[in-house]
Amino acid sequence: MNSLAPWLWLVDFDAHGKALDASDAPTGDLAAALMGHFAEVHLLRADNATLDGLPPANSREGWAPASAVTGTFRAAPWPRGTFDCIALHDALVRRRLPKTDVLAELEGAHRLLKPGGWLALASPRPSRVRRQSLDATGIPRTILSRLLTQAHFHEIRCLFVDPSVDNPRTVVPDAKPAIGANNTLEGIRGSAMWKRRAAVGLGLRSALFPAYILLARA
Amino acid sequence: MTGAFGWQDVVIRQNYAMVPAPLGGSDLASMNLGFNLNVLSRGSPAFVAKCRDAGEPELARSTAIRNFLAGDRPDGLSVSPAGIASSDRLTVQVSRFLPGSNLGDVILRQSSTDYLRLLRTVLCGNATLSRIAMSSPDLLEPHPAMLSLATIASAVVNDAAELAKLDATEHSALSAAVLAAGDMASRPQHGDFWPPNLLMTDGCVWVLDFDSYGEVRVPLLDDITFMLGTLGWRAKSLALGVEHFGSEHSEARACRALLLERAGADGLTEPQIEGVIVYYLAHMALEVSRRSGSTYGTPHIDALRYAAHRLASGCRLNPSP
Repeated sequence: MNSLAPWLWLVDFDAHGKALDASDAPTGDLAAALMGHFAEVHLLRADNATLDGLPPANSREGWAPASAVTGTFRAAPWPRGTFDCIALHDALVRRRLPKTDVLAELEGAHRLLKPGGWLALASPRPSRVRRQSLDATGIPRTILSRLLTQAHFHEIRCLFVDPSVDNPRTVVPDAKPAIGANNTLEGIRGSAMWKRRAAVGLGLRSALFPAYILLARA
Repeated sequence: MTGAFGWQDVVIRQNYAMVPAPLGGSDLASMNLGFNLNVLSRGSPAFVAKCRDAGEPELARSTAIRNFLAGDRPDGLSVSPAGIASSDRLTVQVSRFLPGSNLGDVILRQSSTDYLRLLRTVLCGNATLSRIAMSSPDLLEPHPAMLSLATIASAVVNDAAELAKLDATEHSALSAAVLAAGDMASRPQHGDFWPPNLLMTDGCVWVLDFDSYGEVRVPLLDDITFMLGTLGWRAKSLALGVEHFGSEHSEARACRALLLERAGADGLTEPQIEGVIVYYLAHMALEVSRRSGSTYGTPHIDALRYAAHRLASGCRLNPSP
């Protein structure tokens, strides 16, 4: 499980019927992880290039996706309320869409989810210089959270990721005690600890981590 | 997740496998075996849950070993017990969280005297654990009583020599060292005995991570892993640590005397110690480079180059103390 997939254990799914891997993961690892939780896993990719290698890879692992589709949430072929879970991870961020298109995609994802289903999307923390823009380095957490709310998701959980979305080593809930405990677990001491505590105290928790994942309930 | 804790009380940490056991393969896919949860209670880590796919047998094996070895040993190495639970999707090993500093941090702050005292505690304590493990006929998988280091190490040395771009003389010097080691008594090793897998807390040194316990059988490999690893950390590079180990510095002589004492207990001679050191260096250079790339592999390759150069020039890595 060399991905963000362990987040799947941090939410209670109402049902374990169908999941959608809408990431751009080329390896199929995420789909395989979803397969451990759901009866059916479907694939959605933005383009054919990232889709073509997946069914053969999944076949080698001994299973096949229930369907594999190229396209977007807005034009997805599945009926409203099909999925218990959609794992998007950082695929949306990588597409460098304008804010209006990001919102439209999130609304599309909300439409595909059953009420109570979960969406997982991740992003690197954007650079400070371009913090307020939606650029290739990531989408600020506050903006993405707001877009999720506008897309009618009603519960949003944030977990910080270190060191990267592609190679996560630690996933820490956005909560002061958890961040403090992570400092202990990482063996952070002295001035580094003091600076981190100060950042937490000033409400700059996200500045301590290079990436984050949002879990949003439809 | 339900019950007495919620999603905000759980820190997920990926669980990377050890550098593969020298007797095992080197499949990159085995690098990431699952994930660990640090479960918080009142804002502090309280439990560690090691999570693997359901049906994965290793967790049950390591739990059994851990519970057999469990005990608080203020003069040796302590092992905390663990419980195991399974669902149709997940197997989880749960143990209490041990606060404290891992020995990688501890040894950096120690005087030479304190370091040598800790080294003795760790090496002798590990030998005690090995004896306890061997006292149970069913705890570990059966292995032949004797092993040939050359059989185990030749391919590793050849591949590592190629990776490090050693010349023929240096390569031959490494090969000769493992060949000269001959046969030796098989001894169960922890197999991942690097400083972060040992914690100091409450006056005890605790050993963690028994996933590969007993799979590695080359005697003294844990001792050399810990000794050269910590000397390298203290010297700021593994190559400098190996150089220091072979020097006439009083700390180095004391380290070699301790290693010789430990080797004697296992019936090993000085040439056999030399062979196991070469095997350790070659194995680490090869596997760390394969798994983690040049950033982490280069210090190990440098150490192997230093060792090969030293042996090729007629010097020993482990001169008599």
